Amino acid sequence: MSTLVCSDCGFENALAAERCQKCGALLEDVAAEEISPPLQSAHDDFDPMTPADDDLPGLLNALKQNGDIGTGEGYLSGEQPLDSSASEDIFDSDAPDENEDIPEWLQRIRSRASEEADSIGEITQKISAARQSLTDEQGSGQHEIFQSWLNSIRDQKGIKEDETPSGDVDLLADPANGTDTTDTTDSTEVSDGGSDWLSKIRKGRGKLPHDEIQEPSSLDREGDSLLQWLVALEDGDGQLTQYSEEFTDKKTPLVEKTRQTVINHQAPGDETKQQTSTEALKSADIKKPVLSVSRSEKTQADQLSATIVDERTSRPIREPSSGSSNRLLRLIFGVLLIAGLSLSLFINNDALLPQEHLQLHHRALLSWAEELPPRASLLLVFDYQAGFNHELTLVAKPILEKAIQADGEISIFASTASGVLLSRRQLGGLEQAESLLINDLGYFPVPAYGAYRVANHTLPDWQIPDLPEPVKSLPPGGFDGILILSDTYEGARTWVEQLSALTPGTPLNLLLTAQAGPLMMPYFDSGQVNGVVSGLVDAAGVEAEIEESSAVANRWRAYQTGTLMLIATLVIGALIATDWVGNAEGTGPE
Amino acid sequence: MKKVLTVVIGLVIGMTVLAGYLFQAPLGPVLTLVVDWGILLIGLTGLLGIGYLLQMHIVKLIRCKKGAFFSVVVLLAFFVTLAAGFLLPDQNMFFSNLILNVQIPVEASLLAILAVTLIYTSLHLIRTRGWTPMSVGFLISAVVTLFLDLGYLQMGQETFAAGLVIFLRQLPLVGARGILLGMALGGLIVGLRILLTIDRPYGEG
Repeated sequence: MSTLVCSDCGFENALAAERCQKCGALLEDVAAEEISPPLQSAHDDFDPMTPADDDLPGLLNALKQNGDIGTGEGYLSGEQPLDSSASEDIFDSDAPDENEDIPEWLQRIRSRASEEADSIGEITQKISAARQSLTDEQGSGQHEIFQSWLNSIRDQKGIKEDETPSGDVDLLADPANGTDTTDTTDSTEVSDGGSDWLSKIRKGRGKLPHDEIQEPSSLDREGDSLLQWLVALEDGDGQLTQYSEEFTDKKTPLVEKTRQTVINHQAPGDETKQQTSTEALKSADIKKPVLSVSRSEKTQADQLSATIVDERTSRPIREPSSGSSNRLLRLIFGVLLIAGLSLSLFINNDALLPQEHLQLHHRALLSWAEELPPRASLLLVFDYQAGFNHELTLVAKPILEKAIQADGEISIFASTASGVLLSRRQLGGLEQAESLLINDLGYFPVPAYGAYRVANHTLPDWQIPDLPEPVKSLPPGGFDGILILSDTYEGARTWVEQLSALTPGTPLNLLLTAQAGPLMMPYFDSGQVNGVVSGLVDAAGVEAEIEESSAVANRWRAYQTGTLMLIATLVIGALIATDWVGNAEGTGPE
Repeated sequence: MKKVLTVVIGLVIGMTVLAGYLFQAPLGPVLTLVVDWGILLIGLTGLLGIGYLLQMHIVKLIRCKKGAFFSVVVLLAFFVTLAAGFLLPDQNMFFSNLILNVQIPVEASLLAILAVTLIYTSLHLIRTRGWTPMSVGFLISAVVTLFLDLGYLQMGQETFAAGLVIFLRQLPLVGARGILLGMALGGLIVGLRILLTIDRPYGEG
């Protein structure tokens, strides 16, 4: 793991840290150092706690709050000796002495465990599953490996092999109260009286009753002290370590005594077997339990650790900027913007419009409008929102005045809710408005439906005569041209794609806002669209070419003023913003 | 059964509409009918939406919840507009001005706020990222594009500067073509997935 070691205090900081968490010194010049994680001890390797058992302290706390169990100190100090079968029998409702001396909380847990499979708890389920698998297995091979592993642990702890006759005998010792198990009778009583489950397991493994003294499984030890272990775990690592050390210290003398007992009770043949198995164990390879971590789990763990490191990283504290100066700056900017735009709007002399803005797609549209035949049938599609009305009026007015003839037939089609009203206002501003023949085709809520309906001139089948038609009838001869007025490229694209596929012979022309223009230009290059005019800049070029209107020229100066102020805002704002960043980097928790 | 029915209906309608592009003459009447049904359904959903909106505001008003005053404004505006729409034809200038003289300034003001918000967001981007190639490129492209639209640069037709200006103006088209190609391919794949019933937006699953 790479860390940043502070050159002043030597504290190890996370890689992302800019300052030392301890002394606050800058870590900019400190190089990352690779620090290996601490080696795990034998106890760590044998840590039976799985990540899924993290909720055990919560479970114990809940039990404590209900008064169902006492604190761990009582159990550890021996004031309240724990029955070796208590943890096993908690969820075992088949125990023979079920109704005798069973506290109320245990009955509640048992009844709930019998009703709900999940209520037993994950660790208990695991213990049950492990016990079941232990019963099923032919345990000799695995058991020998386990014993050899225990021996290796003892070797690491400094226990000599000759002092420890076998790894399983010493497990009869009671680490909590130091019960002397040198007497075989006593140990047998403990086994018979306290743990019926232990006998079941041993019977399942084919062990005779006298074998129980010789080879009790170390798993049984864990099962006996499960609750003690949980309590110790909840009380903290220190107490747990103390408990483990106590267990280790008391083990050695007990093991010696037990060894003598076992030798006294062993038959001659058994002694030979024991020596043979011990030698075999010595020669066997020591296998440690393998901790398998998948890649996704490792990734999640890395993310979690990175998040924790990031949360603990000290961040520079930004000093609140002076609010009054900011407010004053904004006020000055606002006044300048409004005053400049207003003045440029009220100055009523026409600005000089740029000439070279007229490009190929503009000229194509103008040519189409000039070459329309007399009494041409046109379709105008109004696909824009009311907020873009002024912009599109400036764009469309010179084209419409050129294209619409006094005696021509105009069909209007709206794909926005206010499109019909906007079309009335748009056409009402034309010079030839009073003599226009307008065929209102109505409002289509979806542009694709409208385009499909416009392209299909056939009447629908299964018409019911008396019912009103959902769509007004279209001119039977089609259109000489279609003009699409749109504010977004999505709407314009739908119309163009549908109409160019279904009615490829009808010329399509686009009158667009500045935001929709660039995205529709590829359709002009591909030939699907005849001509395009978009935005105020294009409208200025068209007006300069036509020289018949001054609507754009009246607003061109305001447009220039607003755009210049926008450029100035961007440049000055960017400079100030990066200056703020520089200042913020210099401030930190001192 | 319900799932199978929706899948079959969706598949048949989709394949019919697709075939209508290839066989326009024989399938035209059928497709016109299908499109009319679709328009009617969308109109009905609009009515349902209006009804739900009215119900929500009326309940809010009755229970005197917070913001009930705005519900009064909404209901009043709705019923006045509805009455004007029923009583007056859409060619009537009063009706047109009643709607548009409110709607146009409101929407234009929202667009102006959007422009200011975009400027602030771009500055915030530069502030958070600092001077990176992306932020510098963004700032320069924005400033150059805006400046070219001002019309201050008047150049001849076949000069190097004119060619450079034309090149800079066509740069956004490159990005537009890429976006449109991506959208077309995406639309094609989505259409195929729906027609092959891999995606079922009309039902569960």
